[in-house]
Amino acid sequence: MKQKLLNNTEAIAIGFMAVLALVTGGWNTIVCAVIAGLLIGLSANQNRDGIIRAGVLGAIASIITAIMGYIFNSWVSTLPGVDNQAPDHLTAYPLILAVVIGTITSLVVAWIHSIHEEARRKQAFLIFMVVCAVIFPFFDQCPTLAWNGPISIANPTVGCTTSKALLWVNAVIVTMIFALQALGLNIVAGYAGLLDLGYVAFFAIGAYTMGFLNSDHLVAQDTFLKTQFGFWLVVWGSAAAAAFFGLLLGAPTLPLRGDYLAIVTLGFGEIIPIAAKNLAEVRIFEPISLFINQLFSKADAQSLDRMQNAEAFLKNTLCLIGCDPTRPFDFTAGTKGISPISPPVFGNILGIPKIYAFVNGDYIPWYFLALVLLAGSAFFIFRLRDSRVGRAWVSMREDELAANAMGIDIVRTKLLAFIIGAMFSGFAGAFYASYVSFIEPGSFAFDISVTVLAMVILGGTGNITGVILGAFITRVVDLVVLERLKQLINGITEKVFFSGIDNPALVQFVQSIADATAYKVMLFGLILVVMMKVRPQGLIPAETAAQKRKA
Amino acid sequence: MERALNSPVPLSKRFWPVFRTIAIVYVILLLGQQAGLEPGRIVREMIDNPVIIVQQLIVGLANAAIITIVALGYTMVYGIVESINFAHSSVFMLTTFVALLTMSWLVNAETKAPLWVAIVAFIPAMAAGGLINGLVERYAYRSLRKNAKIVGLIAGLGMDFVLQNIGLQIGAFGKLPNAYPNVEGIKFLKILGNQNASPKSFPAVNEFFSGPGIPVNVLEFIDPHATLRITPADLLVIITAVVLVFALNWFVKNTRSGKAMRAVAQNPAAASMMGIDVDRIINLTYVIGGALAGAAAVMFGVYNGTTSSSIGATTGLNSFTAAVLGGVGNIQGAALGAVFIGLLSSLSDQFISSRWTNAWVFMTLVLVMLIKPTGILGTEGGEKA
Repeated sequence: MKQKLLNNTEAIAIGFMAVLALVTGGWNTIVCAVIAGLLIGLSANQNRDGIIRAGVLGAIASIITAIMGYIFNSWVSTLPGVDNQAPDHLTAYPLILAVVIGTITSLVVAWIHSIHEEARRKQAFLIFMVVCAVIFPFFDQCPTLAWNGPISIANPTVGCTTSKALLWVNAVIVTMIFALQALGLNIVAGYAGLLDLGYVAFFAIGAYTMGFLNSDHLVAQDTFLKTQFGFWLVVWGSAAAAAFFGLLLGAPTLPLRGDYLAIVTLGFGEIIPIAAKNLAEVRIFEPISLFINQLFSKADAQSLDRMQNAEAFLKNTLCLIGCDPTRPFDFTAGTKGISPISPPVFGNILGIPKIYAFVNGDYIPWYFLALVLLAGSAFFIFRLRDSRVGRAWVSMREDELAANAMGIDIVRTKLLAFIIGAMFSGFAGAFYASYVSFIEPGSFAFDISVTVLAMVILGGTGNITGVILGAFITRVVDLVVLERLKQLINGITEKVFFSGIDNPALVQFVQSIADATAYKVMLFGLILVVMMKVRPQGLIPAETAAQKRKA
Repeated sequence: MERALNSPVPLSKRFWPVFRTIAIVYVILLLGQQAGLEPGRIVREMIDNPVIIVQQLIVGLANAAIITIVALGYTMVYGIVESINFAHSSVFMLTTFVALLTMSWLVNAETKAPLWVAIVAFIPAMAAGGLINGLVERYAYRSLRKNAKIVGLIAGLGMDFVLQNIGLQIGAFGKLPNAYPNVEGIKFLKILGNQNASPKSFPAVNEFFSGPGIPVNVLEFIDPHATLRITPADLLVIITAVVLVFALNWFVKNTRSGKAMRAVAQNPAAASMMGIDVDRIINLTYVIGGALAGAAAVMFGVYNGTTSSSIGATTGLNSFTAAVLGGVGNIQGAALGAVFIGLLSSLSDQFISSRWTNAWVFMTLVLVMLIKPTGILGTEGGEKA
């Protein structure tokens, strides 16, 4: 058989990264070249020819990326409205480095990929990924660095300013939070085959639990809570709270038809933000005394401050929560949001002195914390998949009837998957709340559920590596590509098409039609439809039991 | 049996269900008061002003009319392919825009419209609804029907987002008349406003057949000082819904295509052997469902006076709940469920708390699934493996 010039993965890698370099430019070109090299290396044949081919292809890809980066530097970044992150946009260093590092990456990855012994190959990959992940934030620290002069090996970060830097690190931390959610949804959708459309609800529950127990919001109101519990304790509480709500929601609906669960979770996802918005003024009375009192007096229990005889009403009614007539209990802070939520602290508990405290805005420690949590979760899920429950999930996914005949309780196993999925979402929510230090109902909108679902579907349902890859692709498109495309299109329309036309309303119209960020939902929708039609198993499909036996 | 006679059920066990029910009701009242469920206040308000109950019943019926027609789209499709059409609520949302633009075009961007404009608007809205839903079925769902159910659901969800995004971006055309203020032909686009996501107002239907002197309240014909209010829009909406339900019922019972639909719903394989083109019949079902969504869109626009790209979700949840409540796959059931949901939401808006109405509808959905998942008029036989 004649070998094609490029296989699909290589073509996608080169094309996608070239576009990414075109819209980001500057130092981001290096990141693009590395990712392109990584993907090319991964899809190489496992022999000497494969390595050589990967090296050549990697070099070509890196050169294309560098050319795109050059186009950004010399032309795109001069367009009006384009956010120029790289003041050194005309230096050649990033472009030369992109070619060198991209080529090296593809060679190294292809070499690792060609190791025949599977265990050693996996080990080598793991080491490579860890090295990449550890180097990455330090590298990313310098997008604004004025590397016009000679590069100082001794002190490479000289002149680094962290103010505008870390474009990628921040994005990657948020991506890892999303990947954590996607791992959880993968259990629900990938293993148990359930469609959970209100996944953001559990994320919100986790985040709000963190907000309640690890900020001054409730403590300041002098309620049952006297002190903050601290991140490390509350994280488990968040996961448990989310799991509890998962049980509450899943237990009644799971025995029913599968598509009912989709609607119920969809509704739940809508209700939780409504609740968070409206529970800012909580006042709860004992129902029986409230009933009698309200029947005979003109009292609206929720607006006592506007009431004439509030004192008498309060005296006759047994009040449980929020009994101050002037100030009801503020539970969720409504649209105002809870802030600031305390970051994690090492030590400072049980007499151990404070060792290290995270600071919001200092990204690097957060990056490593997120990395450790994500790696730990991925490891946990890997182990879980090989456990008794995990094997039950996999067998259920492949043939529910046969699994049932083998004695697997389908409903209970599905419920367990649903609860564990919810737990991961709550866990991610807790970390998110602590990371951004501010939560409000608006940050838990429906489109988060959509994004996470798109990640799982894109990457490959049931495959952990695939899901993490899907999370990164989706998130990079969402955060970087669409935003930059919008700037690029706006810049081009303003400079090229409308340079001679004096009609601001027309420009406004064209810009809002061509606003790439406004098509985010459509893009994710198309990802879902196209993946379902073309490749329902995702980019990296899960290994089925039959394939495992063959191997 | 013998054993049961010999050893009577202990007292604690006999009272357990009663106790449990009381406990659940108590907890609902305890937590529900935050969401406006204060029975004492509600009863007193109802006693203080009984007219308002009747008024809310009328509002509820009008709401129910719209919900019924959207729910029919869900229930017909579910009855035939046993899968939720997730894109249905977005088809409904898009057709409200079709209705909006048609009406605005017919009255040349005026804020008032005679009744015939609303009636004419049914034609493009229904055509657009049928077309969109038919295309979605043909190009997104058809090839996936043989796959696992979740595949079709996810594709439907994806189509839902695509259509929702289109609905959002339609709003951008509202900026076009500003760019060309002298072009008359695009003046009607002004109704879309300057903000994509903001609510867009329909021209108000306030005159019967463009004759002057027609009252806003129909009851003034009978009693000039009536406190109750029935508007022409109320009547239009309720009459349309009744006509459509009967027409659909007749269609499904009596026509050749309707019989084919019922045959496919019962057993696609057998229907196919009898010479029925199953693909065509399923597509027809989607087209009819979409056309009904279009009709509901005009009713919604005339009745509520506004639309936006986000109305699909709420109407969708209400209608789906109605369909499940009535028994999915059942036309009369959908109407019955819709009346319940319509009354619930209008009474909740008035007496409980309008901020929490969606939450109460959702609670109803969960309760129905808990207590009687087959719905009021549904049968166990409707569920196939």
